[in-house]
Amino acid sequence: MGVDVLVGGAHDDELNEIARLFEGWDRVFSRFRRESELNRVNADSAPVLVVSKLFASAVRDALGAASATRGLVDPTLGLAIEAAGYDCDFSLLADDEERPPGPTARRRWRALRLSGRLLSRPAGVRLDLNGVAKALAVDASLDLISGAGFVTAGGDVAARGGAVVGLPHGGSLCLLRGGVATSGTTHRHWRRGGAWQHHLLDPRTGRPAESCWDEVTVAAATCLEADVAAKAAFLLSREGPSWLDERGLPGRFVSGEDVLENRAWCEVLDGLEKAAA
Amino acid sequence: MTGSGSRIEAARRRAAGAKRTAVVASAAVFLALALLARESHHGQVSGATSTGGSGSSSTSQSTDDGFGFDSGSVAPSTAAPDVHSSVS
Repeated sequence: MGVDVLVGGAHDDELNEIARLFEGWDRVFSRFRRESELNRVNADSAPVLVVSKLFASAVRDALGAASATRGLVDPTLGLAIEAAGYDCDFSLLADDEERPPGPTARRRWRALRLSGRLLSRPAGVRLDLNGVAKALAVDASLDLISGAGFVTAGGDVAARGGAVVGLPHGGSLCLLRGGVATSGTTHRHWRRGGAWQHHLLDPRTGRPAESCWDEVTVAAATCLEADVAAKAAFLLSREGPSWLDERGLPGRFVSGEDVLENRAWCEVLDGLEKAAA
Repeated sequence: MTGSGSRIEAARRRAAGAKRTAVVASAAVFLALALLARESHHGQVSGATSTGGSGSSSTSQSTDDGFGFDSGSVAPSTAAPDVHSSVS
């Protein structure tokens, strides 16, 4: 998946299983492997396809995430991310001041249908499941560890039994159970046609989102939930902190040198600090 | 003539049987599509369970797809980090 994976608390056999899991999931979900199932599905013109159980499961979670965020986290933005210029592994992505971004693609997640392993989608829709696949892989990897442990991939963390997680711009928290994820534009960005591009697309425009935040970190019951919520809160810009509060999710927002913690973050951590005192 | 008549009659019977089979098959396909359309809503799913999504009892909000948000369990810490959460 083009990310470093760090595992704690796993036995050797569990570690090997986790390595196989990431390799296997990359073969299914990678946009940059020509033979991946994702690319085969996107290239297939048949209106209805039988997909693998794993692929169907990820689509199911992606549709759940889309529904829970009212389409902010949308699995049908494959064309839009390519139009923004993200068409190869990020390590190979070069600035291109001459070539403008391509035409945007409309969000179409409501047009997807999944019944068991039968997937139907409108003609021309290209899926991008990387918004959920990495976090799902982290959660699935943690399930392979029998005792306390943690798994982190590309900055997404899942833990059971306690892991100290360092936060962007300093500070840390102890993740007793669940996941922590950070979304933002400080790492993956590039220039195309004289403008900065990044991978967090606003499905309302099909273009890289404009947000008042550089990075948003969220803690949740799973890495997937944390990742989806962090993306949504980033895209919602100023409404992000209250959106997380409405869902009882602790969130930490970074803008330049400023750090803002939402009410849920303050309540959870302050409450535990008082209990420990 | 009798033999020819029998063959025509037999052909008619086969044709009628084929029609009945076609009607039954069409009805079955129509019924299957109607059931699929009823169970599989736009942008939603029907069928198997999810690998991800909420895994705790205190889900604050969830969708019809079973996806929900739960706050997990965190505590303050001043110890050196085991891992870092960062933008990927």
